[in-house]
Amino acid sequence: MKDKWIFTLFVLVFLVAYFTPFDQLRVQHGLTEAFLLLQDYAREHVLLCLLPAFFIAGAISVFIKQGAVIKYFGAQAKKILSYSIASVSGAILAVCSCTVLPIFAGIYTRGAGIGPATAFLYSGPAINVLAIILTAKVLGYRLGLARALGAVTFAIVIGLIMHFLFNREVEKNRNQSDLIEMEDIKQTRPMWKTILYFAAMIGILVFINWGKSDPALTIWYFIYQAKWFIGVFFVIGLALMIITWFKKEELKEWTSSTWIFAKQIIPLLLAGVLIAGFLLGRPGQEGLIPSHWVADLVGGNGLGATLFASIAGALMYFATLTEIPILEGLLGAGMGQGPALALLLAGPALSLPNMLVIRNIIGTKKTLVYILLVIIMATVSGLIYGAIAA
Amino acid sequence: MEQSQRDLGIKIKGIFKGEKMEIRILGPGCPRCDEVEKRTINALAELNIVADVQKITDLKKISEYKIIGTPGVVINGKVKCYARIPTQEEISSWIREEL
Repeated sequence: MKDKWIFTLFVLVFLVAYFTPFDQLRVQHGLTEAFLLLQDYAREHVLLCLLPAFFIAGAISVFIKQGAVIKYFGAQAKKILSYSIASVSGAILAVCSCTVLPIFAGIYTRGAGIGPATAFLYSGPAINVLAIILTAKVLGYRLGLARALGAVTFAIVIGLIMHFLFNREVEKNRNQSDLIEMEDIKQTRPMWKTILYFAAMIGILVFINWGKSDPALTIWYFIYQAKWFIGVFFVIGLALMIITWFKKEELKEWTSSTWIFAKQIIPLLLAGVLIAGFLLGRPGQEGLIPSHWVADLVGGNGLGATLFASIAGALMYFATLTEIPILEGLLGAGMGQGPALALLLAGPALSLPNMLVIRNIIGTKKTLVYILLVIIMATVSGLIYGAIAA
Repeated sequence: MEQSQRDLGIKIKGIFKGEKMEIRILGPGCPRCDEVEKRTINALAELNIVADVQKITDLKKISEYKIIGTPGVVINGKVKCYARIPTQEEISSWIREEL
């Protein structure tokens, strides 16, 4: 970090320490809520959900050949394939938010063009593995599923609209150059082994987090009661695979890439949870911001609330995963389900800083149209989901 | 260039063709790219080779290398890998290739 920034940080901390009215009850309550929410995450989400999720993310970046996916973004690739792959491949390619923009720039300038590029830009941050897993765990599987489906569907719509609006002009300017071929990485083990390995990890994650359900739903309740046995079964399976199928260096790469993700994301998530807890409190509690403010602005599933949530989400910057504790706080304070989905869709896809980067790549006009489309599409998905959820 | 190296007191072992090796690390500046930079510098130190290592963070410049996805490693203008974090051994072997 540059000294300039460290100094700015010092000044900010000083100003906060100087001016915050810590003697006010509301502020004290907010601080307590911040740490209670943090404890909630530490107890409920870290060991069983975040930790396995990081290992899965690490494994994806080491053992899944991204080149196989990336070649469908080349200028020569079939358009239908480019769009479908662009809208879903975020799950594999966008494990950390910092990979989204370089891939977007690459697809736009060297590859399949503006349509698939914007499709990827919209869906990538919303469907990366970590985001899906934590959304489903913290906010409920319904919202997690709606987030993934909404992102994929509307990514294609946005991509196609951008394609029809701008394609002609882009084709002219773009140099249709070939991409550098990915080097052939030696296939070290057959495909089915890799699939089983990922299945075991996902099995662990899904079953040890199995939610309690109504005893009347016999099968679900049975799985809930047996979740530890099933989980341990998968853990043993995974351990056997790791011992027999993997080389020592591969395991080292896996842990090191898991560690890189954790190092990058956990500090931001920690800050996000504390801020969300301080401002909004845990569900059912009130933080610094009175709940009725939230309910007034984004309560219910109306057009106004949903549109406001989309615009706010588009402007705000969320570091990877921090949208989740913030949304948990907002939902607890009375935000409607529809606006929540709108914020989840517009939030990570856009922010003021990344608008500037996107503008640098595709120009002002296209950026403005893209922003407008994201806000419209997020609002529409929010309204649909709000109507279904209500 | 040779002058400045002598001034810095850096001894150059191995084959040195009069030009410094040029290594570019492509990435917008996140821990994954930092890791690649760290491994590159370690590889150079282990091989005792002097090279001009620069990080390129500008997305427009990155896309000029005809790649999709970061981090990328470019040695003497040749893209060695992208969209993944290479091991230090791999980086060492690329450096030896380019000597």
